Amino acid sequence: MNRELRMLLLATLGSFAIYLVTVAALPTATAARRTDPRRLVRDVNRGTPELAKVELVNEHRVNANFVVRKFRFSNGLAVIVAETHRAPVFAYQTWFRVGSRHEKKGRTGIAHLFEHLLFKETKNLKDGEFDKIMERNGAVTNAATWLDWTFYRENLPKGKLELVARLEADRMQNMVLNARQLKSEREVVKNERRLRVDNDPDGKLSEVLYATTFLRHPYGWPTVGWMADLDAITLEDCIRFYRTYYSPNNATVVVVGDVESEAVLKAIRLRYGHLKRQSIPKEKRVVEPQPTKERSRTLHLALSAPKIVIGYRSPALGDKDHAAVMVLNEVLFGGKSGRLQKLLVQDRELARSTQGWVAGFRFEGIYEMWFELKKSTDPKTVETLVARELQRISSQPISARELQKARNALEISLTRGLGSVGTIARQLGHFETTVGDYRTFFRVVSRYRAVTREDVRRVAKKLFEPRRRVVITGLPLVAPKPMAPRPGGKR
Amino acid sequence: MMRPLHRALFALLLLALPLVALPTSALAETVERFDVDGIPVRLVQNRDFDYVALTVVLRSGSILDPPGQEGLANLTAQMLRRGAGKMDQAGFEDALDFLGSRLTINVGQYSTSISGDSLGRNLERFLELVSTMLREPRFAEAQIAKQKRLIQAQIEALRENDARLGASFFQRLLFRKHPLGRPTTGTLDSLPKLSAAQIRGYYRRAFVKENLIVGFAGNIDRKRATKLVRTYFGHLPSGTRTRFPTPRAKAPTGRTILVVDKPKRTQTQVFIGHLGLQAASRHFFPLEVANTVFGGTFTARLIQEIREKRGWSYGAYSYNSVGPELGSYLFRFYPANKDCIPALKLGLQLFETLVEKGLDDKEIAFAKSYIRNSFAFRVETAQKRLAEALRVELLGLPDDFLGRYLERIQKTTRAGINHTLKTVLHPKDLVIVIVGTYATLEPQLSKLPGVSRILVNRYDRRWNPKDNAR
Repeated sequence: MNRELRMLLLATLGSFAIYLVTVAALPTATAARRTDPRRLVRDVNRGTPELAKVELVNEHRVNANFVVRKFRFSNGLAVIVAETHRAPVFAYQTWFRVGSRHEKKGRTGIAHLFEHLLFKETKNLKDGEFDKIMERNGAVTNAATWLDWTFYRENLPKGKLELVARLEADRMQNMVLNARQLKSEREVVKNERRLRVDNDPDGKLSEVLYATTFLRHPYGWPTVGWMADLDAITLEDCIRFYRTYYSPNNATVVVVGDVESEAVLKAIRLRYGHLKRQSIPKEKRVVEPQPTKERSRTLHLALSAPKIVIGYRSPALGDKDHAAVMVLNEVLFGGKSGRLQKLLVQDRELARSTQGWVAGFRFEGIYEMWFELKKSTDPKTVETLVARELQRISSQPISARELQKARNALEISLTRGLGSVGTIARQLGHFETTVGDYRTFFRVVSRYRAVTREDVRRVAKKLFEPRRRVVITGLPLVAPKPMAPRPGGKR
Repeated sequence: MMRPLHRALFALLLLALPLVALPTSALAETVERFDVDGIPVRLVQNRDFDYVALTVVLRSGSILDPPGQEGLANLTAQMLRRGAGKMDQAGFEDALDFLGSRLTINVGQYSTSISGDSLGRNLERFLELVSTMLREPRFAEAQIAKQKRLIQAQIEALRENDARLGASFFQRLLFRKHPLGRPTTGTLDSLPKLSAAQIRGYYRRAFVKENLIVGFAGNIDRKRATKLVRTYFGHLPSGTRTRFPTPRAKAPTGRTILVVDKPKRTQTQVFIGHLGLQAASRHFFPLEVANTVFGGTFTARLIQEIREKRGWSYGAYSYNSVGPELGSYLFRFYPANKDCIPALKLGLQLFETLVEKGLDDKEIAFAKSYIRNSFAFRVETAQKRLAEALRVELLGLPDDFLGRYLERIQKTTRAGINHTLKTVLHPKDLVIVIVGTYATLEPQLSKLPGVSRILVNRYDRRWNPKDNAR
């Protein structure tokens, strides 16, 4: 996933949590659905064969108007349903617990390439028909692959539940893969790689940052795949990948919006109930050794001015310290008054922008810090100033005002981009698939509120050890000439 | 990794300005329109959570930049948050960040938008900051110099992103000397010359009550909105509402290619198009249907032929961009070097076929079905509905434009659509911009049909395209 998408994800991270926190206090047009879930399950199971029976796994009642429920069918398929009737639309997402970290060396990129192929032919639909049917019905469809997951999403107008359940279940079991499709889609993906990495300096810097940070762990290779690996992937590889990971017991369907829970369960039982569970291979855990010294790389790219990306290994999304690192990031990079933003962009004018991003992965990720410098700035100067600031924040507690400011910023960031059923579904699916329980998502706000000044200093001290630092520097291909205007020169 | 469909949908959102029949009509009607002391207000309530999004729009933009003062509107607007009232730049930003609010200032050709948000409980404090910024900007010399240097660095950074670079060159080549061809940010030559006096002069002319529109979306009712607009925006000075210049643009003749020459590219960015419609044009709705079929969705002709059948580009889409006076029609894709010329030939051929043969009944029915069914997503949230209402206002369209959007799409006919295609699209007269490595493209460029001129501009040089004659 490129940087832009990461920022989007960050911006919407937990966005629904604040909605859920505040909605109880306000009047709402949303009608409450107070169905007893056990009765609901009994009704759905009546007369159903054993294989297609459903059970209630848990219920998260945020308030009287908003309830999230997780169910599981006998074949292992998990279903998360949240009704909200604010607009006549709903989101239907299918999350698979397979991402680029499940790939093998020499076949990197297959998870993402396969995501593309899943829009092709099935036993029941000719090539291209899936998209045609979806668009004719007004659906907005897409998919995404990242390190820990792959998900397929549709936003649909009300009333299209049966349709989307039928088509999604069909492609979970009936894909038809052939050499012609692979050839064409391989070229598309290679073009995507050219677009996002090979011809994009930010993409290249990001790729090198991960490859330099993770020497053994699969987070070190790019989700889009190495170009040589994309060429090496065979049709047999794709068929094997499909048969291995695309099964009901490796998936969660998330449905949010203007739907009735009973109708959702009945539609899913009808379309997925007969699918058999498969044996999912146990993941071989790769532990990345702790670094013993700082690593650095320098790249020459089509840049107008130098860029620096500094990475530190950061806690996993489910780690108790993740919230404190989020607060730390706000103090350093938040708004235009964050410490590094203020120092480097506003006061010293050494950079045109700074940005911090904390990974939210299944395992330990990277706290990324991006610095786009002015063309006359020596990258070493910025490195020194950043190191000094990180040392300061590791040794002295932040001020009470800084802490409150960071909490406020994180709290409001949770509401942005809200409203949309697709965003809500994405958060539920992301947390369920990444940390194994969508309810973790609802704890985000309280975790931010619980972070103390000392917590921030403690995690900073732990993270910012020099030996844990990776520095990737991008320099312009040729030393840029001064661009000062010539007297009387043309525009 | 996402498929690029969202880009096409985004373009449709920008252009379509919709609203509809049931059940989405009920949502559309939730936009409240009223005036407070002469200031138009657009309000969309959403009481589900304690959050309010604000958009303050001024009818004033870069099209007003005098020749030689390109970037004046943008520089003036960006200066608003570099110190206002009793707060210096750092004090203002700290106060804003403390609320957790975000604030962005975007200057377009016809408008200046100040967008931000706040938790409902902090709304008054947030509006106080916005109001102070609008009424009492300091325009301190040292801060002006800083802002200029920042914008200059941003202009130079444009060359790092091939897609943005291509879009920028396309805009300039398409509109040439028309004001719409000038970069909103200004140029590396014009920026240093802009003075504090010019900034203050522009501010006095543009930032007047008569140019203001205020929009709220979120947990706020009409009574509170009225009080807040009166308190925080009612004291903006009065002046004269902006009258935009309406010079005629000269349409391109023949096919002009401009290669933005960038070394070591493995991929190209291709932009093809010509001048487009005024928002109020009677051809707008027929062209919306036609554009959906040509390059507006993932099953459209362009992406099927270029991506799905041949794998030549990750994306291939077309855009019917309208403006208050003039717009553009554009299609684009991004093939690898080796596929650039074949993809370009195919793209041109598809465009010619679109105009010559038009659409068939099946395609029209599909496009109408897609537009009708997907319409709900354009009005799904309060913020989307506010954005649509403000666009209608800025484009000078009637209030019922949104409400009648689907009805008017539905009324389009095959004959009318195909007539529009022949009337407003011009496959022989096109501007084509390619960002790529010239040396790899040169041998094939002249073989493209109907090309009247080939220009080259180094990617890291100022706008100064030259004929490719060596």
